[in-house]
Order: sequence, then structure tokens, then C-alpha cells
Amino acid sequence: MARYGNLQIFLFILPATVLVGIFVYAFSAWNVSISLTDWRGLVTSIRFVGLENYLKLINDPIAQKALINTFLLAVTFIPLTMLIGLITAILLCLELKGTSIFRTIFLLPLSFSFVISATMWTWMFSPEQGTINSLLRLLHLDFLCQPWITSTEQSLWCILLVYIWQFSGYVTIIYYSGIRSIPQEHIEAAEIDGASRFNIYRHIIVPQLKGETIGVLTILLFYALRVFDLVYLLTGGGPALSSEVLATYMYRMTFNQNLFAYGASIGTVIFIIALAIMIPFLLLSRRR
Amino acid sequence: MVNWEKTASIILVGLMLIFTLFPLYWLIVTSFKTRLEVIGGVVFIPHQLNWMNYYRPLFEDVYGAYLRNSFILSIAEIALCLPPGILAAYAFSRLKFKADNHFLFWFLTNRMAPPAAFLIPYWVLYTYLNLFDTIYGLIIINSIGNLPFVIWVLKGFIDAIPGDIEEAAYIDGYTFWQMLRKILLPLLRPAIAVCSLFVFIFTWNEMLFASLLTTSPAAMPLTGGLLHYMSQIWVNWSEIAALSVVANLPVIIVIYFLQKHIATALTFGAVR
Amino acid sequence: MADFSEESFFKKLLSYPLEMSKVKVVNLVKKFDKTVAVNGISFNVKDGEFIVLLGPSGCGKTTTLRCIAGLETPDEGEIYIDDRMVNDLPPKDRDIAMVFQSYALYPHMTVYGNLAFPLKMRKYPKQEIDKRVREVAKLLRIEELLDRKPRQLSGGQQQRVALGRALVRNPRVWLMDEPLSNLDAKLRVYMRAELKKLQKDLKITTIYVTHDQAEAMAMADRVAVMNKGKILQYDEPRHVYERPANLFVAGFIGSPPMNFIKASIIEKDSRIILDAGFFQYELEKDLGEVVKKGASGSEVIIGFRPEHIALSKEKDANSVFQADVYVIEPMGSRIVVDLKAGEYLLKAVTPPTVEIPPSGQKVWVGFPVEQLHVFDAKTEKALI
Repeated sequence: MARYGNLQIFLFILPATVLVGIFVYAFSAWNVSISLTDWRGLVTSIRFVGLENYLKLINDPIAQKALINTFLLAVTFIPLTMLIGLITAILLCLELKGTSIFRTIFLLPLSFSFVISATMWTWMFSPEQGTINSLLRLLHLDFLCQPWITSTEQSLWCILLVYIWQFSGYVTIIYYSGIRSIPQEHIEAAEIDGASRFNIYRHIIVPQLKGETIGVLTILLFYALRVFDLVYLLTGGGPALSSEVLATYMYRMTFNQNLFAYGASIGTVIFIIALAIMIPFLLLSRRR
Repeated sequence: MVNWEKTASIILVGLMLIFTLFPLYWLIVTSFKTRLEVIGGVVFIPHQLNWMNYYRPLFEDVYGAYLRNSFILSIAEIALCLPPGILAAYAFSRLKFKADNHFLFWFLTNRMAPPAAFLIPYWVLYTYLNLFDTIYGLIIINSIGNLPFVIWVLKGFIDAIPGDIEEAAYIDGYTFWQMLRKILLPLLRPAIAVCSLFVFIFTWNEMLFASLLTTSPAAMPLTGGLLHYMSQIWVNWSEIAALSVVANLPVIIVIYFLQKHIATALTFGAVR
Repeated sequence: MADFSEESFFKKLLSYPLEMSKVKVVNLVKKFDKTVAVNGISFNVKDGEFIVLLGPSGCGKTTTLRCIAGLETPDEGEIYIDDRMVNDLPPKDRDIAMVFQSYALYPHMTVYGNLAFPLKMRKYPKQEIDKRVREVAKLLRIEELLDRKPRQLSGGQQQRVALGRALVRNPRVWLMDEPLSNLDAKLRVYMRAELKKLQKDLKITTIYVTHDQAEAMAMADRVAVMNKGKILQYDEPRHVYERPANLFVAGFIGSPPMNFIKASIIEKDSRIILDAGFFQYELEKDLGEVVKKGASGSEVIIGFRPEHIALSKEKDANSVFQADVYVIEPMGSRIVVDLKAGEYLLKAVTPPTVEIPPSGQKVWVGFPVEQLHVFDAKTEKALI
């Protein structure tokens, strides 16, 4: 009788979850279908044009730049954030005083809405009145002043910095609890076996963080491939498209230039890239 | 050797702290500055606390409404996502699914699509359904994102509760609903609390749809409002800073209470 | 099973010499906040000796072990290994090896990796590491397991890996913290013998901690019975059993534990009599004198072991008092009888051939004077 009750719940709930899934998949399908047209937003005429948008995309130099930028960002963001997070976690483990305060502090950047982060960092990076440059001037280090996000070379890296700022706290917390969960006896045994502090980290602690590493990597990967918010808010993709990523390009095409179809095709490409990278990754990590 | 280590680590932690906190400190400080102080150069501590920066947008301008909308939205989300989420998580957890992997796949692919790609469909749909510029529209769209997360985390927690307890309850004569109410829910209280707080944060900070699917103070949340403010021509940085502080305060408070559970909840799915 | 008959078999297997060391602990004191875990203990361990620190939980035995290992810093006192004071040395410089209760095997390394780790940390050349690891694996019969990870091993196998890791480094002293307590009962008894044999053949000085008195009695050359941070008696198992120095030791060693009955010393016509209420026991002249002289007051506690009780249906020369048979527990190789006498519940152990009246009936209880123990009620010290 209890099992029957379960079945009821099951049937009652699944529609809701399936509905959610449908929203995502149906809309993705819709997106794909739009990408196969030449819809220009407010114009009512729509023609089916097949893969024309995608062909255009492949030859589009801006799209290529956006793709490169997206990858550059992902490839630097993920390892750097993980490294900084790991090191901070290790350092936290050595200290022990006021841990919960530290935890709160390191989690703070994660709590900020992107709007707010962007506000803060735009202000910090601004060349004339920005905080960083002003501080440098105050310390008589004028020569170190940079154009930061207004420069074409540095814009992408400034964005990288902000992302690292926002996410490394999260990594720290995860690694911190991972390190804490290693039983004290392992460390004592290693001490008796003759391992120096450094070796203990290298051979005993870090290898046992594999689980945490995969978790962190999953979440960061998720994010890195779809970066949009901070890029859009900090630089809008500029100056001169130097920090354009795929998602911002899509946004511009769709909303600024009303090229809905073209935008949809970019969206589909993002989705496919994300799937292509995540699925093998997940399969590999599940097998462990 | 140990002393060297200790000083090095204190310095490093100090650096990390400064790196983490400085922008926030600057934000708070800026929120109290006058316009002149903001533009005129580096001022570490303003001469007086200019509360006008807070007062004006919230009470004289439209941002108070935005704040209210954010609260309504976030709390509605919690009320709407948790109950179905609990039941769905229970279903996914207890009923032996060969579909466990399918569930994982479903959950993760939900999050893989770039949100910006959904703007057009939603915009069109909402205009058609008259949901444009309403709180209800935002509620729906946030639920789409929050539900899978809630189910995911709760499933993990329910997995950890042994089935024996339920069976004991059935033997004692409870119906399913009684068992749920009297036994499972109390056990899940911390998990539900954590989930609610997470839903709150995610919804509160959501920016993309908030700004694009609403236009008026009737429905727009604070994140959207801030975005609009920033895209205006005449920008009062200190007011933006003030609004940002206000926008962030609830989240900071929530995080303070959440910090122990964040690691557990966020890694629940990913770390097996 | 390999052939253990030759002592030199082990020595031949291991190509490197094994050290023997003496350990001396002087006035060790260790506090944790306000609690004093170890309250000034001193003892010596001879070369190649197997000594056991025995006591209930919280008595300070593990803390003492950890101080010797260097995992805790003593508040007072000195620890010497081979006449060298090691208080200031970190664990890795003390040349000791430790087997933990939970084995503490590194879960992410293979058995080979676990065994090789101590050598790797001391920068032994690769060939030497390989040689030693394989020798030790052969010695402990875990060769087939070298490529497995700890979680794939059974409890007994894990335990042997832990032993191997302690062995591979040729340490001066072996420290063991209840290494057998996680094994099931049958395996535990088996490993007791294995461990003792191993230690005897390799002659490594060993300090072993346990709360199981049977284990201590079976394995130790000398036992240190500890309680509340102090060593109460430090002697060969035989002596601790036959001549416990005080009440606690007497009650802790032996299973079922010793029976205790309160009594008073009465002098009547220059005869010394112990009066327990429901019976009286007269002591021989010399014995009586000893008791009278040593006692601090007139209250004493009589102690006799269950296995030294003689039960009979009829009163005979040895019988001292009558008791009700309460419960009979036939254990196969012996019978444990619970007796009720006065307000005491006593236990007796008899061979299975003795006939016991059924529950509810009376039986005569006797105990020989050679196995009698008398303790001062106040100081708890043994008088005879």
C-alpha cells in the first residue's frame, strides 16, 4: 500500500519536472529552428534558409575572435581559480583562528550579483578616476598606471581577474572542507614515516582531493563556457571587440542588430560546444 | 622552518583577504561619498556619512519598489519551488530508477544552455501570453532554473537517509503523507533551510531575465533596476554604490548563516 | 603457512639488520586543558622486549604512546630512546614506527605505495625500496596484494599492510595502538599469536597499547597496568595475575573478574579472623600477623578468583560458606556459576565434570588459602 502511494507522488511530480525539462529542450529546439531562418526580429517575413547562418558564422571573423576569447578565458580562468582556491584553502588550514569569519569573507564575492561586481570593478579599473590608478598615483607609482579595461590588450585579462575574484572563494571553501575531512591519523602516520610538511601536502593531502577537484572543475567548466554577465557589464565586448565572447556576440546580434536568426545560431553553437566538452568530462568522472 | 611557514602563510592569507575585501570596502565607502569626493580623487574615508545616497533612490525614486519586487520574487520562488522539489526529490531518490544517469544528464544539460539564448523565445512567449513585465513571468522563469537545483540537492540529502525509518513508520500505520510530514520533513529541515537560502540568493541575484523581461517598477527587481540605472547617461556613482550595498546586504546575511552548508550542498551532486 | 620453525628464517628473509633499542620514560606528565591524562609515570623497556600498556579507556595509555611517538609534547618528564633524550625530536627523527588502531593506510596509494612511502620519504634509492618492499610483503604474506588499494583488502590484510609499513623502515621501536581491536574475534585471536611470533623472531622492541586484558596477558613480556594516568603495576603477566599489587589490578586482570567481599579484622584469643558477615574466615598465625600489621584500619576486602573456587554439595574441609545457585552458564569447556551469598553476587568457574545443583538450591563454596587475596579497604593495596 505504501508503494502505491509512492507511485501517486511519482506521477504527480514528474509532470512538473518534465515540464521544466521541456521548457529547456523545447526552447533550445525553437532556437535551433530559428537559426535555420533569416528572421530579423521585428520584420515579419521569415524564410527558411537552412544552414546559411552557420556558414556565415564559420567565416565570420568576429565570431572567430569571440570563440578564441571564450576559450582563452576558460583556459586561464579555470586553472588559476582552482590554484588560488587550493592555496588559500591550505593556508586556512594552517591558521585555525577565526575560521568562520574567514569562510564568510571568502564566500562574499560569490554572493555579489554580477551587476554589483561589475559596478565595483568598473570603478576600480577606470583609467582616470579609477581606484587602482589613483592608488598607484598616490604611491608615486604613476608609471604602473594602465588603461585597464579601456585598452584592447588588457580588457580580457581584467575580466579574467574579476572572474577569478568572484569564484576563487568558492573553490577555497570546497577544498578547505575537503582537506579537513582527511583523518588526522593519516597525517600523523605520514609524519612518523618521515614526510616533511610539504611532502605531506604533496603526497597525502592533495591526491585525496580528487573528488573535490572534479566537483569544482565541473562547476567552473559549466560556467566558463557560457560567460556572459561580467563581460557584458564590464566591457560590453569592447573596446573594439577585444574582449568579445560568444555569448556577448550573440546578445549583440540579437538585441542590438535584431538579427534574431543569426543570434540563435550563435546560441546553438554555444550549446553544442558546452555539450561537447561537458559530456565526455562527465562520463569520465562518473567512471571513477 | 615552522616559523617561516607561519609568517609566509599569514602574509598570503592577508593578501587574499585584501584582494577579496577591498572592492567591497570601496563600495561601502563610495556609497557614503558626495559627488565631489567621488570624482575628486582617492578618498579613503569620506568626511561625513552621506545618507542621502541611500535615501533618495529608495524613498524618493523608484528603487524602493524594485527592492520590494526582489523580495517578493525571491520569497515566492522559495514557496513555489520547495514543495514540488521535495516531492520530486523523494521520487527520484526512493524509486529505484535505472534512470539515475538520465536524471543526472537532464539536470546538467538544463544548465548548459546559454541563458541568453532563451531570451527570444521567452520574450515572444511572454508577450503572447501577456506575461511580459509581470512578476509571474519572472517567477516562472526563475523556477525553471531553481527547480532542478532544489531537486538535485534534496535528492542527495534524501539518499543519505536510510529507508528503514520509513518502513518502520509504515509498520506503525502511517500513511505516506503522515510519514512525510512527521518523519521525513523534520529530518530534512537543515536541507530545506539550505535550499531555501540558495534559491533566495540565486533569484535575488538573477540579472538577465530580470532586466529584459520587465520594464516597470511594478515588476522589475533590484538587479534589473541597477542595470538600468547604470545605462543612463547621468550616473551618480555614490547612489549606485549605495543601492549595491542595499542589494547585497540580504545576501551577505544569508551567507553568514549558510557558510557551513555551502560546501556540502554545492558538492553534493558533483562529488560522489 | 610459511615455516616458522627456524628463528633465523626471518632474519634470512630480511636482508637488512634490525635494531634493538631500550626505551626509558621518566616522570611523564601530560595534561589536556584541565584534565591530567598522564600523571607522572616512569618505566623502562629492555632491548627486544614486548611490553603492553593495559588499562580502561581514559587511563592515559594511548597518550603515553603518542608522547613516545612524538605526536604529543609532554608537559613534564623525559623520554629516552637508547639513552638519547628525544623530547625535542619530531616523530620522523625518532626512528620509530607506529601501527594505528585504524591502520591509517593511505587510501589513494596501492599497497606497494603504502609500503614504499616511508622509504621514499627518506630518499632511499629505488632499487633498495623495491627490494625491501618485496621482502616485507613476502614476510607478511601479502605479495599478491601489492597492486591493490586499501579499500579492496579485508581487515586482516589491511592490518598486515600496516604492520609491513611499520617494518619496512627497520625502526628502533615499534609502537602499536590497539591494532587488533578492529578485527573480528576469531581473527583477533589468530593475529595475536602471529604478532607475538613475529616480534619474537625479529626482536624489535615493542610497546603495545590495549584495553583487552586477555590480549595483554597473552602477548606481553611485561604488562603495565594503568589507571587514571598512573602505572599501578609493571610486571610479568604471571605475576600480575598471581600477585596483583592492588585492588584495581586484581579486578582488571582475569575473566570473569575476581570476586570481592568486604570484611573486618577481628582478634579473638590471639587468633586473627576475617568477618564478612555471612561467614568468618580464620587466618593462619603468620598470615594473620602480616594482615594485621599491614592494614591501616580494620576494614579489608577479601578477593578470590572464580577459577579458584571449589563448589561442593556437602560441606567439606575446604568449605567456607553456603551460597544459593543463581544462574548456571554452561560454556562447553567450563561452567560459570553465578552464586548469591549475603548481598553479593559471586562468580565461580568449574570444570564441566563437576556436578552443580540446579538454580535455587544451595551449594558449599570453598577457596584455598594459597589463592586468597586480602586488600586494605582504604589504601586498596594488597596485603597478601
